[in-house]
Amino acid sequence: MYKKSILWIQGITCNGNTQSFLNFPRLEIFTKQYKFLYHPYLESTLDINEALNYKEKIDFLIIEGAISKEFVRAGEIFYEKVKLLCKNAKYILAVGTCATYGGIFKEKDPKNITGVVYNKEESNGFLSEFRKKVFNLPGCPAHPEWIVYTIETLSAKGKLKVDEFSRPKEIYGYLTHHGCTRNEYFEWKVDTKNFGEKEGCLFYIQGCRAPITHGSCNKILWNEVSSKTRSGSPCFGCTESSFPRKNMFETKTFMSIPADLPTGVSKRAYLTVTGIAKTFHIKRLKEKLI
Amino acid sequence: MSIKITKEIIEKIEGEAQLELVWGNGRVKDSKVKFFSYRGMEEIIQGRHPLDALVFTPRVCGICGHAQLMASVHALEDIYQNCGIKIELSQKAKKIRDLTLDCEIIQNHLKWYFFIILPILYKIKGKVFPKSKSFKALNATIKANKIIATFAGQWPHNSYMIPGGIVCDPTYVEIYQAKSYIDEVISFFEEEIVKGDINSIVHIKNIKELMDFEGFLKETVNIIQENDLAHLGKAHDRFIAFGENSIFEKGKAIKTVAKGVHPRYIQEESLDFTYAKNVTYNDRFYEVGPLARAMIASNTLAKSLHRVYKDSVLNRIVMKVMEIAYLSYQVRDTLECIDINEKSFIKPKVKIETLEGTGNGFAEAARGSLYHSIKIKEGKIDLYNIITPTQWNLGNSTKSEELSTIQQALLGLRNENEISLIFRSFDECSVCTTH
Repeated sequence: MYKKSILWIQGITCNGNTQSFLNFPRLEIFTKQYKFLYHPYLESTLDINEALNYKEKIDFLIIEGAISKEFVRAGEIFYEKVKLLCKNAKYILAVGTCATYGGIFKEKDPKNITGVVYNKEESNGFLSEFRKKVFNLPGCPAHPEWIVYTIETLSAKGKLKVDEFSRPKEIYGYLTHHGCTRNEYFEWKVDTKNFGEKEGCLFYIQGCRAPITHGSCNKILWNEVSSKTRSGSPCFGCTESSFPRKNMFETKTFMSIPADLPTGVSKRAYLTVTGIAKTFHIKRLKEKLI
Repeated sequence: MSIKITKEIIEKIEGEAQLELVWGNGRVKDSKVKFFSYRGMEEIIQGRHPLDALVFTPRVCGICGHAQLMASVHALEDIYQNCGIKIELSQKAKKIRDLTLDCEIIQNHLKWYFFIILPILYKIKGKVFPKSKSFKALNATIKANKIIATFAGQWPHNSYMIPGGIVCDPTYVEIYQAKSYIDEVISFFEEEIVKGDINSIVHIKNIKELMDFEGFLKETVNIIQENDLAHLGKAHDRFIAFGENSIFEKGKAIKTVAKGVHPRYIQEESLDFTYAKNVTYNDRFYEVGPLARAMIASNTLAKSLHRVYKDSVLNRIVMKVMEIAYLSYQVRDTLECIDINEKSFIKPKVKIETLEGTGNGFAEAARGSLYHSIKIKEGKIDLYNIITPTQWNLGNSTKSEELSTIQQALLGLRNENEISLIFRSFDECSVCTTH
């Protein structure tokens, strides 16, 4: 039986997506269904230099990490090699925020480092000529279920619905906020008094970006158990082109309301609801849960 | 005497490195390790809010990001202390920080053992290591990572440690879930690595007792001994560790005598042919990692092995595998003595951006000591320096009188099998080294 091939190659990266992928609970079965021409950790058909110089058709080219024209991978200029791989690939998955927009490693030299298609939010990344077959899976790192879902759907259906950044809608149609265990505090505008507490919302003071960030972190839980916001950490907005932002543990405010409002909510709507919510002092929400 | 030079790309070490070997009379005479990529994390962090370091530094490395976080938070807390502001940490916060880092080390060692070392050893004896076993080990790493995520939200890449504590406030529900995950890791160790009870395994005192247990560890020792590898891979017999927790002690050991250490003797040296900087302590190369930690903590098994095998590949591999047992045992124990009624976070008296000064932070990462140093000026990070474990182990000596740890360990080796086993016994990490 023909097994679809996957070639996973890395630009400027920390290996976070590779390691995240190893958390996929059904990986053994997955590796039996697909052929890994190259994976940075798992056993593969090719070695790294053969992979970089591979000239045959590839079903799925996975690119992890940011792109620069000078970056050297295993002794070879990565950019020169990856272009041919892109040409020969049926689908390209830009996995992680660095591959999608440039991410953290773009900060080193913003003019000369981009994502595959995107350069922050602009679509002039160094490999943007291949944009038609690129699917972006931002996240620092991307969740393994997001990666497998994309491969499986493309394998079975040949297409999937994407948003304006070519992110699969079934993953990025949600906001990280959806499913957060602190939602009720958000509804009633009750902020958390401090880090290290179960109660309260992290949106008002601690810098949480969940209502402004596309992703399924609170629907498809991390490591199948939790998420940043559930555990008490603000969402840093890592699936968006603005990541990494400045002062990430702090909410920027304007006239004492968050400067960035929930996606798609007008200032008027937000202020009206907030004004009303705040006039009610709900005792239960001010008390400890336990 | 004919001199030959070979160059080989070593891959799947969280990136790649090039190993250049100089051969004479069929043996390795000299070696050089070259890392290709540089990412500039220290520069990227410069000029940012001090707390943002907690988001950036885990992204140094996909497999030891949690250790980076620990070193970073320690360095920030050290700045407070150096400014005369006491940082209070609850026992709960301290214990949870330690146990999630322990879990990161456990998953790293399991991956290294089942994806790198055992396949090399099987190759040496002419067999193929069964993939199903590697995946079974991977399943155990998933359990260890679930424990981290239970407290930290996710793994890789979380930022749940902040100056003054941790951001999570678990209930006993999470504590018991974590306990069942560590029990699964322990079961895997008991079923596959040593067929026996962990309560006895952590008390093994010598190789004779070790060989009473069937399983992969015994097989590992057998293959190493049967192929005359047991005495290979000796370096300088000098060990160093800067991080501390309930198992690890900081110190350095020359042969078997451990002494105190101070960061002022750590030196970095840039080289023109590689992006990795050399690092020495008081002008000497040291080995870091599980064997070093065990020697410094006067672990009975390590010292017993040391009497015969010194700092050879056998001792290095056995102590790294045994560290999985010690840490799993420790995690289970720690989970039992967390008092959830304590505070998770005790807010420091002032905001960190109001301080000026420098701080040092250490952590024992899977592969050895990790060091972060931060300078804050005018509310921003003015300087950030990171020294990673692989820098200690994989130096390139520029002096004639002393080789680096890896150069010494490779000296005199005869063939590819020996080289790959000894080289990989240090579990190098490319991305960390070229942060």
